[in-house]
Amino acid sequence: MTGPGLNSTNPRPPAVSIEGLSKFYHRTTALKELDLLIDGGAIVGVLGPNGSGKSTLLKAIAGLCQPDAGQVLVSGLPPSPRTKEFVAYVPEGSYLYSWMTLGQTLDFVGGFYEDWDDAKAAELVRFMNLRLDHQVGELSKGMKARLRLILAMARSADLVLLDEPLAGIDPPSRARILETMIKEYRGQEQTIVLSTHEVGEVEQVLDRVVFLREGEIVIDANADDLRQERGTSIEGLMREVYQ
Amino acid sequence: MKLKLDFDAAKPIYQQIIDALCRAVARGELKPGDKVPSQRDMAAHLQVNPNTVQRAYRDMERDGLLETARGTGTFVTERPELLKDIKQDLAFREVSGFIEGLRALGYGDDEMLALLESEIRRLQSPKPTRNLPATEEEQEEDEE
Amino acid sequence: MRRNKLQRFASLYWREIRAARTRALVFAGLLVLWLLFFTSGLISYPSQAIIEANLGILTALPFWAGAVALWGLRGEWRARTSELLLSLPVPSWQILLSKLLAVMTEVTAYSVGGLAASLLFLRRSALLALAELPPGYWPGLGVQQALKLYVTYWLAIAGMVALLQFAFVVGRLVPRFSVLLSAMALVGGGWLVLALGTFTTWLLNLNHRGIHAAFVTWRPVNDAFQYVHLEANITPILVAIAMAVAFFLASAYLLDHQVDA
Repeated sequence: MTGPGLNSTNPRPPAVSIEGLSKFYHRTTALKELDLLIDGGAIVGVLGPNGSGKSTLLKAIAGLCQPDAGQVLVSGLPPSPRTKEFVAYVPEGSYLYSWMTLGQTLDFVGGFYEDWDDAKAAELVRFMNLRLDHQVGELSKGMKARLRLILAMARSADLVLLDEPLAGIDPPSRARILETMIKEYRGQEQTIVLSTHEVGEVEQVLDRVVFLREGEIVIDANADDLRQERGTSIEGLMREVYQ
Repeated sequence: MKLKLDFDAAKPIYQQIIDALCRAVARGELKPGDKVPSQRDMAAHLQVNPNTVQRAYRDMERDGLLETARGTGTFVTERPELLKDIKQDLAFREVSGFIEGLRALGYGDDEMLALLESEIRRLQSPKPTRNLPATEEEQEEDEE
Repeated sequence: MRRNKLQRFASLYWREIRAARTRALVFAGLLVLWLLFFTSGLISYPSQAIIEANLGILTALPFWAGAVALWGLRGEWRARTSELLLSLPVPSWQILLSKLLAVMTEVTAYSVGGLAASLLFLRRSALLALAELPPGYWPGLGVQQALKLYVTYWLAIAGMVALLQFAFVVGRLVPRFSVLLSAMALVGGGWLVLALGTFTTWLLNLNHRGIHAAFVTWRPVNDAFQYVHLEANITPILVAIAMAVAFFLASAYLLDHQVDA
């Protein structure tokens, strides 16, 4: 692990350390003085309905969104090209050049990362039933989602940020995406933060869940502990919290 | 070894993994000394978080159900009392669940015992309508 | 895949170039048509027409460059590919520079392409036209001056593109008012450039300093058109170019620290 800030006397800095993060858009507060601490080696689910600030939170960690107040630290560093080396961010929806082929996209993106694994990428392409010569613009929504995940998982990123990785995707693609995520997850060396508004099949994969409502954290706990305490699934809990 | 698990998302997953393994041992599908899948393989097979599997394995090791040999893998403990302990543990849990369930329905202690006795008598006839574990427990009790 | 920093920049640059291939094909097509038209002998044309055609390209290119630069940036944000670019581990100045260089590559390709096509395929007429320039001008002094002018022209367009990039980035500070902010940045930046350029010229003229360039233009002289030899102080343009670098650095800073993808 690359571990910036790592030395013999300091313990590993938390994967994500957020203090007092606020972000305002025209007339709405996307995030309101958010505090969040994520130690390395967990799969964290950021849950909430649309508009609760999930995407903004992930973007702030990825360095794509500038905070209006507060501080975001990734492995002890503010978001910068340096942190982007070991952070894999996958936004929701389309963000790739539609005139490129799949192969060209993988080539283009892969060339920027030290931890890109060509063999792994090829294996994932096969596993996801994609073709390298397919143009990105012609891909279905599900195929694009699968490609997006490959861009994240063909690396050995310390922090993987997935914004709604399953939203609006056909069930077979969802299954593939979930399988790949679990298969490729590198345990203690990797932190995955994923956001979703429907917890469903992701539930069993989450270590920890963070419930967002209107830019604030309402619940932040270990998933199994919550199940024990509340006697309900995370999905059920979501229904309660977000009536 | 193909562990099957129908998840109840309302219960802690690590606990369900422990229960599933215990039941497998109780049923004889897993014998003391058998190798269990690695945490990673188990997680991939069950489609759950490896950390959850880790928690389950850790608890089981702490309770003496599993033991890890460095480099070789994780095995069901070769403890002679193991099978008995597991069955006892599972049995206790079934009973606690039973008692809590009936209490929630408003049954008093005497009523509970009466109900239990009548059901035992009813089920002694060879047409079990319950699910598998109960039947096997009864068979083993009959054998003993 | 391990690519060093230079290769990463190169890959950004090539991506920009590949995005322009349709436009380049269109230009090449038009150029071929123009050449065919002129070499077919269907009409007789004065040899000056070749020079005018090339000057036409040169006049149109700044507008073309501006449009491409702005449209390119706007397109990234509309298609959300800005999220891809800004999530890459590269500093913003590399993204902006790759775009700027790609636009300038187009400018160079089209201007030089037109000239090369003229010289190669319309050689006789082109040389005739050049021969009509004032005696002694071509080839000796002419080439040197032409080069000086071309480089200044090229740098000026690059500077303009930098200013346009700056205006776009300023617009992204508050996306709701992006057009207004961009316009303000453009006008403000343009004014600043003119003001500084004029001031510098005045200062230099005071001390009779400055960089001069000579060039030739087609002007009416005594009821007839002729090629006329002129000289101008091009220092203001060079000042403008220096300012463009400042705008470029400001754009990079804003993109890194103030603008959302």
